[in-house]
Amino acid sequence: MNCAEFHEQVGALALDAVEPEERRALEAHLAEGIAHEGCREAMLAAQRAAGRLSAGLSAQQPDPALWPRIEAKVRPRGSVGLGRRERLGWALLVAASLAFVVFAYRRHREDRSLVAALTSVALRARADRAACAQALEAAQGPAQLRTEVLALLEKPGTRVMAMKPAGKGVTASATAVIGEGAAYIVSSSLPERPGKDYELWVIRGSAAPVPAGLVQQGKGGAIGKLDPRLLAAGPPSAIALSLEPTGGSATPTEVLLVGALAG
Amino acid sequence: MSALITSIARHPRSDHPGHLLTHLILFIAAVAAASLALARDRAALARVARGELSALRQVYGSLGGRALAVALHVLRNRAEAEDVVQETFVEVWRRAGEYEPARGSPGASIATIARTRSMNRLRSLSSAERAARASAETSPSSPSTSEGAERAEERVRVARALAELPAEQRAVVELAHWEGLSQREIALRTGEPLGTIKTRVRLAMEKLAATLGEEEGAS
Repeated sequence: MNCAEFHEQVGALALDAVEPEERRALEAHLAEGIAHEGCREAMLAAQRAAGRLSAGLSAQQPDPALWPRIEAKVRPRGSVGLGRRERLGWALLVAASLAFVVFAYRRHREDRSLVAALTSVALRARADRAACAQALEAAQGPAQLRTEVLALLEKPGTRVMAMKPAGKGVTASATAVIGEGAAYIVSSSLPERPGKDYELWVIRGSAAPVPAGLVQQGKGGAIGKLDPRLLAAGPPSAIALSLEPTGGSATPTEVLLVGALAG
Repeated sequence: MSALITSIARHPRSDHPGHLLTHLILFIAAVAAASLALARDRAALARVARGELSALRQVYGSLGGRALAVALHVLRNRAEAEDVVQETFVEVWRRAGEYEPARGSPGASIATIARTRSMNRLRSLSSAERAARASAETSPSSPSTSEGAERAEERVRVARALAELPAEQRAVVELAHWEGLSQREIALRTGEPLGTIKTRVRLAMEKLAATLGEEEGAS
């Protein structure tokens, strides 16, 4: 798809009036690291126009009982007094429990005893959880991203997994937090490198890695948010983290960590 | 500016300097009020992103009525529409940090969430149920008494932009936006060629982007 073709369909995309395969092609074009001809600006203008169509309606008066229902959903009874770290702990425990039940049964049901398998996966899940919590605690700089990661961790179905070194000699480590339409990398062991940036990548099948954003460094920790537009078509096959010149690159230079999501 | 010109043209003594000055003052006041409301909503959303429940209450008070209007318009069922509003503001609570001002005002963003959730519910219905809803009378309306002058001005502006579209372009925009139809589904519904529908959508959205696509608060 070229920019002219994108402009022809941008209005329909903003109206959500395209077929799934058209949406994927349009979003893939927008995510391409090329010199676009006003594509993003056209997308934003079309989205603003589409968003304002609803303003043509007269606002309606909600039932007074509706706000208490909303409040109960965002602040469940009995949760008053639980700090963010405690809620994080519960969320990670639930995620780890789900992960080791499914993961252990599928991987080890024929070859190992279930007890040994559950113990092994539970230890790994606890290690991933601990690494994520430690990194979030350390990443004091990017506060907004911390808030987002914590919110994602509270959602059911969010995955937490350790990324693997891409080669020998890689001492850095990072944890991936993947939910519906959102993914983050959290690390407390990415050293600051003057003149360099850590860059994120999305990999789908055998296609070339697509740049997915830069990691933000804080005091003692780092958080990177993968471009949500690249996740709109569903979870990728893998995500990666590399070391690049300042500002990032169009293709990876030195891949450090990889996280496989498929299978 | 067009609102000012139209207002002056309608006034019987539009050449009187006093009347011109009055209209100018009212216009400036309306623009200022709209800018203040936008800034207030954006500030509240930033506080929601920091986990302030009181800020969510404020955003709900300001924009909940608009979200309900959208859900009611799509679903034609008050109970379901209120469920959608509940879901919408829970999502606002969880994702306020992702709000991008460049994509539109907080009101437009929240209305978009409400519309998307309403469409998802609508699509889960059978074809017969959807047809019955589409032809049903809208649930009894209970207009909000808290809608300010700036929101009324916005409502008029959007209505005027839609009215200025040719009828066939306005029709495809309404089928896509309010019934959640894709271009292909609109072509099937209307019996028109898909290429014709795509052209109408493109032309309509180009015009709407030109009149409604600037960042709110910039006019």
